[in-house]
Amino acid sequence: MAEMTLIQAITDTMWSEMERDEKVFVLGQDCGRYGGVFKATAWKSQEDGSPDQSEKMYDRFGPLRVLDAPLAENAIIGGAIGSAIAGYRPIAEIQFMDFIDCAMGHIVNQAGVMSFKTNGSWCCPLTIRTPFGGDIGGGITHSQSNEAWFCHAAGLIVMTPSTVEDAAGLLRTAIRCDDPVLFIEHKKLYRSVKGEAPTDPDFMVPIGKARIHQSGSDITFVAYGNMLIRAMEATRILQKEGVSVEVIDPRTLWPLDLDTIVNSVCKTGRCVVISESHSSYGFSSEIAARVQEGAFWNLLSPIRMISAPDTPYPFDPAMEKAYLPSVETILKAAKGAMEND
Amino acid sequence: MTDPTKSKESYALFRPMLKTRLLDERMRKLFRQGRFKGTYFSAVGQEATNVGTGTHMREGDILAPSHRQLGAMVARGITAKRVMAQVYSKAESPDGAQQHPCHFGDPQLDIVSPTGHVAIQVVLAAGAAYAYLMDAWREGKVKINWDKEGIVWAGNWTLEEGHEMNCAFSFFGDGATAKGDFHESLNFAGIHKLPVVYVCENNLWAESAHLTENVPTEKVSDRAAAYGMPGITIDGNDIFEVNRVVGEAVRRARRGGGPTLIECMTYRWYGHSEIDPADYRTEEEVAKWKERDPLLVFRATMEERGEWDEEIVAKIEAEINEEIDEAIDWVEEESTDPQPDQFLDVTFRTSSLNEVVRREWEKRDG
Repeated sequence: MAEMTLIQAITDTMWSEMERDEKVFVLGQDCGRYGGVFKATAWKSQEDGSPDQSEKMYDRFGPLRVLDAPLAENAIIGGAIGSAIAGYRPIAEIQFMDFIDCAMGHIVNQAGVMSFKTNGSWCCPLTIRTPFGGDIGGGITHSQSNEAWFCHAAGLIVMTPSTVEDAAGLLRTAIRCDDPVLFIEHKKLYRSVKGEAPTDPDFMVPIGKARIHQSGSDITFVAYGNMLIRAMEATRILQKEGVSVEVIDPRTLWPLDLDTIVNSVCKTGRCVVISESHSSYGFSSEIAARVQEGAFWNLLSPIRMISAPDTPYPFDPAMEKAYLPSVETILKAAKGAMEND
Repeated sequence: MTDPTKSKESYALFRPMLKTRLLDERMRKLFRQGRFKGTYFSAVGQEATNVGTGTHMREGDILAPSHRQLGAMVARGITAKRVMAQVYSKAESPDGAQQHPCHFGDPQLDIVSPTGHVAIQVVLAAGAAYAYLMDAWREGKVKINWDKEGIVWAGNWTLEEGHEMNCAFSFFGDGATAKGDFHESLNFAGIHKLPVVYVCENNLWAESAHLTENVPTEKVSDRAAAYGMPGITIDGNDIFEVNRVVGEAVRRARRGGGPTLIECMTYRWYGHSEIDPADYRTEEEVAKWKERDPLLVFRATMEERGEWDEEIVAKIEAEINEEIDEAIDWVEEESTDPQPDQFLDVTFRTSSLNEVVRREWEKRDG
């Protein structure tokens, strides 16, 4: 097994699914000839895990199956849905998650209701891949984390990988799934997270199954994406101080694997939820609400919710730093929880 | 002189048109009698546009309708029973009674029911048409013609002589052309020469908004120029004209000639829905359009040709009324009410996900 970047595992998985099923195709802005702005639709890996730049996805599968779509999110998503109804398995890329709001009607009121409005006769095997999250100097419209919008809608599965293995396993599950999946990828993790990719061409991670990223006994952290990375940094510091942290990566945001999270909190009695999306009606508040319901009598201290302020995303580096939850923020919350105050 | 063959073809257009009219008027009446809930969106007055188009559909062609496409669905072959099951919210409805009565669709006939979001369907049609292009390409029937630098190809492809693709049928009103979705769909279809026929039913009013409040150009079809496709405005109440013009567009689309925007001038006789008094229009305007009743236009043409046959018409009418009567009897006496909790089991194809939803509901009400 070769070590590769998270984004390489994403490309490799699409590549292998396109080899396997000729009904799978990719469409998006700059996805074809250019290979995508992040190069997610460019090259598969070679033996050492680095991209094999001798052949692009566009050249391997042809310009119709790696479509350079017009600069039009409604056409990309609405078009993908139409092709799904006509028998295909589209993987639509929205260049930045910030732009996904343009296509909201198609996602929520067409893809998400297709099975429902045909009483289960039709389904919508659509995968929407989109990079989310900040810490890259992207500013107001290249840094957003809007996943809660889709978790709050009906009929959509929402997934996000934070390891190379999950990138491969979750994306394969998404592509083969008969229901619409919003697959969000933290852009900060694209090339900073590396790992060994599974070699099994059928390797899949089940929907709605969290992963215990690290086992521990004193306190539970729940996080994904870049906040998982920060939670792990905090975990290493706490460990040196003798605090044992259990870190849970939900992997699927809808449906949530509540059992894994609640069981962990029942064991540790303490919970810190970390996300970089807005604090109101978001991931942190959702987890906190559900954990208190499931683990109320085992809680030793209040659940801590860490998230971003309810403002648009700032650009200036110092402001961006202030905007995002830091390792220090997580440490402070964890220490408060450990002191049971 | 009467041409019996031609006459047969004409009555094949007339039958679904009359069926649509009779079914529609009957459903208005049933709604007003309180025999089904929600509201009702009548398409009376727009039958020629719908039937003249719908008769060109083949199996596997997607119909992406708006909310006034009863006629297209009848032409495609939907039965009165299936329509009644939907308006009465019965378990036998194609949507399992989960939708509004007039969001007609039928997966068995490749008809995608509309959403309340006007024009979203227009984009779906382009996507299905793109799938048809991919079908042909995968079968080796499409040759891509790269530009001389070998860089770009979009829209520059040729279909093997004699091959025919599926065609997507998109219906929408004049109001929908004000939406960004309309633009993005026609733009996409225009770029790639997709096999789709865009039928705009211009009935002058988008609910209460007049055409001029949604469309800045003289004609809706003028918009086609922006998308590199032919645009044409026709008499949407003359079924022969609709059938001929749509037929040419469908043939061109199937053979790789790209999309067409067809603006059919027509009129809805009644309100936007049955709860709309339509008092934004003048009585004179309504009366003028009723004189151009698609059924009367048909009759006038047939009389001119000497092919109007009262006996045939009476026979067709009797057969249709019998089908409708039977459908109403069935829906009111024999059909099944849906289970009040059945909606919990159909949001996803993946059954374990429906179980997640159901468990949450049971936790609330259990």
